[in-house]
Amino acid sequence: MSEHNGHQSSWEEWQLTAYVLGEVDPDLAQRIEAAAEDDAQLSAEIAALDMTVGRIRHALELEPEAFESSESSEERLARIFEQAARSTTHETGDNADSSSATVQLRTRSAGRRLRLSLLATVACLFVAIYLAVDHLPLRELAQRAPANATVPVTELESSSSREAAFQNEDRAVISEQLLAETEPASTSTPPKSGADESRLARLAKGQSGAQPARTVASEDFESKTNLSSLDAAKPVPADLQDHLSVEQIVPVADQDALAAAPTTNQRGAVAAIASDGELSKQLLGDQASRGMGLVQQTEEEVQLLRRTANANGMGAASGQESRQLSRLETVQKLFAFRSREQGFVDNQDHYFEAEKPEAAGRDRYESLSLAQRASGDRFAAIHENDFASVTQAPLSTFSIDVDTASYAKTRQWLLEANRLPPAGAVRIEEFVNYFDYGYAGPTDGETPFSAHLAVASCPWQPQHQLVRIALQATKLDLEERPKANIVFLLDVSGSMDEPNKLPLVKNAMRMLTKQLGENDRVAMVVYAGAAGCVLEGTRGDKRKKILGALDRLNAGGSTNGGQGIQLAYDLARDNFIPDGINRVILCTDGDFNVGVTKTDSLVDLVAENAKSKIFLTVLGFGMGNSNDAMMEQISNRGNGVYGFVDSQREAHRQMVKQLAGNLVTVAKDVKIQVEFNPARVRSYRLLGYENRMLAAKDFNDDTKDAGEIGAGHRVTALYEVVPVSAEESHPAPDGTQLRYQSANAAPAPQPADTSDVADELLAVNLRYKQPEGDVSQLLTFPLKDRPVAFTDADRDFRWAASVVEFGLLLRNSQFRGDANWETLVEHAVEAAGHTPTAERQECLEMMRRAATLAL
Amino acid sequence: MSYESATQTSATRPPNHWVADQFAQLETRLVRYVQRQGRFEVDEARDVVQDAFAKLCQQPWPDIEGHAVAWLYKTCRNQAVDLARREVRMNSLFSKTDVTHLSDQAARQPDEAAVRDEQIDLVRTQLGALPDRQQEILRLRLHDGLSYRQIAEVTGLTVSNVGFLIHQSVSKLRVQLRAES
Repeated sequence: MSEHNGHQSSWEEWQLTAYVLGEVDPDLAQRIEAAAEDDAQLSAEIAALDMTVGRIRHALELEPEAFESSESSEERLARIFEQAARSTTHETGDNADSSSATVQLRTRSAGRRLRLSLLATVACLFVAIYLAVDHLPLRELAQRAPANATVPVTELESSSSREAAFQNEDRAVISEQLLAETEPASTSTPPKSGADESRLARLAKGQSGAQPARTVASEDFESKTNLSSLDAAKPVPADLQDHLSVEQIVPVADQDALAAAPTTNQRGAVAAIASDGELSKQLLGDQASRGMGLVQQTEEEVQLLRRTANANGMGAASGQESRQLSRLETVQKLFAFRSREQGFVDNQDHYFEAEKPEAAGRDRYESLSLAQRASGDRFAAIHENDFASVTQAPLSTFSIDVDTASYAKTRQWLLEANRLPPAGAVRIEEFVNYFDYGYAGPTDGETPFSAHLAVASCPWQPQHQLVRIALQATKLDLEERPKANIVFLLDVSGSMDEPNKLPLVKNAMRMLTKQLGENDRVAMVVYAGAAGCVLEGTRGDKRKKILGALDRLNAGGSTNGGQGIQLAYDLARDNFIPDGINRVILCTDGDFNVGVTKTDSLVDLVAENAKSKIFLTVLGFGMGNSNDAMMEQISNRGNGVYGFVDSQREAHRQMVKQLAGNLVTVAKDVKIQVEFNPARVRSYRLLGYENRMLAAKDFNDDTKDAGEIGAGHRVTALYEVVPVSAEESHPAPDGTQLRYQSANAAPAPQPADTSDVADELLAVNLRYKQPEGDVSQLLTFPLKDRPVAFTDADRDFRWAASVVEFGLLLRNSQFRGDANWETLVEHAVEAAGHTPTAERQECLEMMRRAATLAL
Repeated sequence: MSYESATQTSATRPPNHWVADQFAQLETRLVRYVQRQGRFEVDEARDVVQDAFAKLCQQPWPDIEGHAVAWLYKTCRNQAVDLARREVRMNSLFSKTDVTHLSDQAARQPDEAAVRDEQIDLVRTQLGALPDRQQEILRLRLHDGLSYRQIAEVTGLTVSNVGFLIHQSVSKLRVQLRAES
């Protein structure tokens, strides 16, 4: 089975890494070098691989090497020789065969195993040989399997047969593997094991005395008796018995597919090996997750990948995360999952189900376990903005949003879980705002941000235009930042006890504490069943104390977020720094399951504190429990940022790279109102920002809360615009002076053709308040109607458009127009340029992954 | 006297000085390797390694000479696997938490981590999050310096499987480390 894997790989896939490690033959090395000379991307690829390898090597080299020993190495060596000599005396005549170089190393070492391990091997061999007889029908089944598996699974019947196919194929694989192990033993001359009463050796010899293997095996259940009589039989461990019972309750439909398959007992034995057969599982999983490769996959490869994934059925699920779960767990989850789909169990996650786009070809068996866990995630449904007629609604008003959590979550879905995210998890504006664009900052030193407008044709709807509105906030040197008073509010409830949660929180905090100095204050509050302060306000340079408190944290208990948040605000107030940064940073998986959990009362609490200048940042962790909607809402009201941390890298981004932006607000309640010129625009649609829409009249209402912008943050909003034909206009909503139409004008006024605003497409009005201010200021930026072809637009424009397109496709939006996965990746690769930033490179990877999953 | 018998057969057995050389070069690495295989204590791991060297002394000479490294790793590995399996059976514990525990530990890296280079810390955490098998192979290549062929011999995979798995681990780490560039 191993060849099967190797031959399918093209050299780009894995041999590139092999090349970097000096593991390919000179011929191939030459070919790669020649290719790299002409291909900048390839050479960049190689350089990047080389760097990664270097970093890994470096990290490994620095690991502690030496260990303490009570004995000197001479003493240990002497013991070894002694031990060797002792066993040599037992071995007589062993040399005769061993001089033959053809004897496999494997066999040799097997023949000399210590007694205990020998017994275990005997048991394995028996089973292997037993299976060997059964091998043919199994192989047949395995061949049949892909045919079944590629049929879209819609009913119980086919899904069961699919599982059966998986099991059978897996068994075939295992038995094949064991056969391969056995073959050398039975075909080559085995070593004599001397005085050792090696049943293994005798068995392997086959001819001598012991029953021929085949007979033993074909006697069906007797093999079991044999095993136990050899006292080498491994009793099926308790956990595997569980495994069996789980399999037994698998619906009846299985039995037909398993008819030719062996008895349960045998399956138990197989399972016993399977737990050792990590290898085969690994290979299946790895093959399925080959999409990891960074080199762009050709279509063929993609298809191949899908085929393999299908053929492997559930094997695919063992890719990535679920690989780490034991087989038993996988089976149990499979069962639970399936029964849920059949309606045996109440469908509790209707959010998730409801948001699932019907589009798809999505393999519902991929990454089952993860999907299961993630099904606890709650996402609010998003109703996409529709096209609005300019005559009826000439103003479009929304609040800015600099959050990026949705993007990070999607990344986790795609790259970790290998699944498409539910549509509700995709907030397009957060996708767009995840990326850094080369917008210039403000130059006048007064306005806290600059605006950048542009218009080009729309890639997914060529007759439409795409308008970009971008704001760039003043960048701020970290040295210049005001003193900070930070209270960490850490969720240490039981649900946080996962590697991608609490440990990641701790690491994130370690990174942050490195950025703090003696003028800063740090406090820490934890909450679980009860809330408690674990670190009183401490100077930022007392790192030992802070880290000590961090390391003592352990997860356990239920979550009382409400109580914790109150305590955190109290502490923040105690240490309040006037004119400084006063902020509570909440790190949680969002599982508020005790106490004040009603979003509304929490939101009130948060909003109230925001008024007294204590802002809130929410960092979400982990997948599976997070109440996305609530976290977004409370961070919005707390004048803060909602970030999602799925990895070390993201933690670094949030806590180090964007620290200033996350801590220092340069403008608050930033609202954007776009007025469209009816002489130029028929209708428009804002892409994303669905939960940030404001009524037109709220724009001028300073009591209405809106988004904050932190130092160095940038905000990008895109409108899809349908260019003109003359249409009727209607009075504008109250309170706003229209630029192009008088509010009381009669229907169909001639737009002011002669005026100097006639060639304007739209004008952007901005309102913002200084961080401490209560009165808003107004800025206006008009945009001339001079669209360029999409391909002539600047890189950042095209990148943002690609990211929107990505979002539309993920959401399976009704407005996606001509957007499709193939052109998306093309556009995005072009826009990313020759030297894409790490973030963009990663996004390309996500797009490719999503494309394979969606096709 | 037992020492003597070992020297007597030295014509077809590895010479003691050679074994001693191998021991000096490989012992530490092997002990670490075994420890990782089953999360053993140092003492347990050392016993495994010691057994392996004792067996090495009985290998036919000079056939074993070119193979010694792979052979030792392989022997240690088999032994470690057996040992781990036995322990699992004794506890009859279904170790659902094992994997989490491991990566959790890697992520946690107590006090010293704070002092050490953040970058290295990061690599290590990501490494710890890889599947055991991939970690093992990656370490064998980049830490222990085994060639693909040797790793194949140790693990029973084909050379291309090894290459494939290494590529996969490297790619994954690359994606995860990239943002820091």
